[in-house]
Amino acid sequence: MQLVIAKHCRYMKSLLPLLACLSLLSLPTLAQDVASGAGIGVDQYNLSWNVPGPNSAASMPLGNGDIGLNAWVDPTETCFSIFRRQMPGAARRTQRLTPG
Amino acid sequence: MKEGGVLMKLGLIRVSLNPKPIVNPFQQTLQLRHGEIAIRLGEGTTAIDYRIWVDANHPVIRVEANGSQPFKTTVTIHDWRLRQGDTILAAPRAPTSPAPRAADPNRSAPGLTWFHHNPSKNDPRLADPHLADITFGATLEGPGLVRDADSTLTSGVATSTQLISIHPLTLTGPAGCLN
Repeated sequence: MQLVIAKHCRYMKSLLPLLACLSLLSLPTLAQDVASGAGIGVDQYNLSWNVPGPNSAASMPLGNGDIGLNAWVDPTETCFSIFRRQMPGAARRTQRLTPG
Repeated sequence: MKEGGVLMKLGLIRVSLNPKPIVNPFQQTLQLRHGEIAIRLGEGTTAIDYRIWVDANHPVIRVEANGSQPFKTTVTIHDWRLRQGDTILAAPRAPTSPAPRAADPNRSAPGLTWFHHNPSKNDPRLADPHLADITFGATLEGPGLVRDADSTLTSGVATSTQLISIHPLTLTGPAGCLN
């Protein structure tokens, strides 16, 4: 197993120069996107669902670096759990995420 | 280890509309450029559009519901630690003025506040002193939303748009600082 991993590492190392060249080649395109306000094509990475998530396990994350939430639809109600950074816990018994 | 710096959820909030929206077709999108979640329930004149975002410059979560037909909104906080360290502040006294606040959908009523307060130092429940006296919670409010029950806000009049704001807050200090 270790031998296989070592082979893969050597293979990846050999690809590094090629990846570096490709990155340099893509820089002008990147600069054009930024200049045109195209948001470097971030829209193509939007996450889209066409089925409501039945519970928090199928939630969508959102936040501003300080406050965060996980949102889902269940099935006609919009639900979200909220949290905030730097909020240490109290007793373990109060740290349950689900009732019961 | 009995205590730890675990990121605790502040609560679970449910937003329901009356009449209930149709779930089919359904579309939920995380829009990275705008940093928001857009949800569309149904289509045509019965469609409901939600926008959920966290303000980049202020500590507030905004939820906006829009529809072409008027609807009533109910917002409920589910706090599974209630009476196990969490408190929901009682509703303020009913106004003596004859004009109810719910009649004005553009005006925010006092809303709903809940919080958790960690015990003070030397409290046997507190295993880790640096966690003493930390308080965290949130306030839920929105134009036209009034307190309906201990943990519920409802809109008094049906509207075709509703904004809900959630203001989370954390601070450290003795229980008296909450007054």
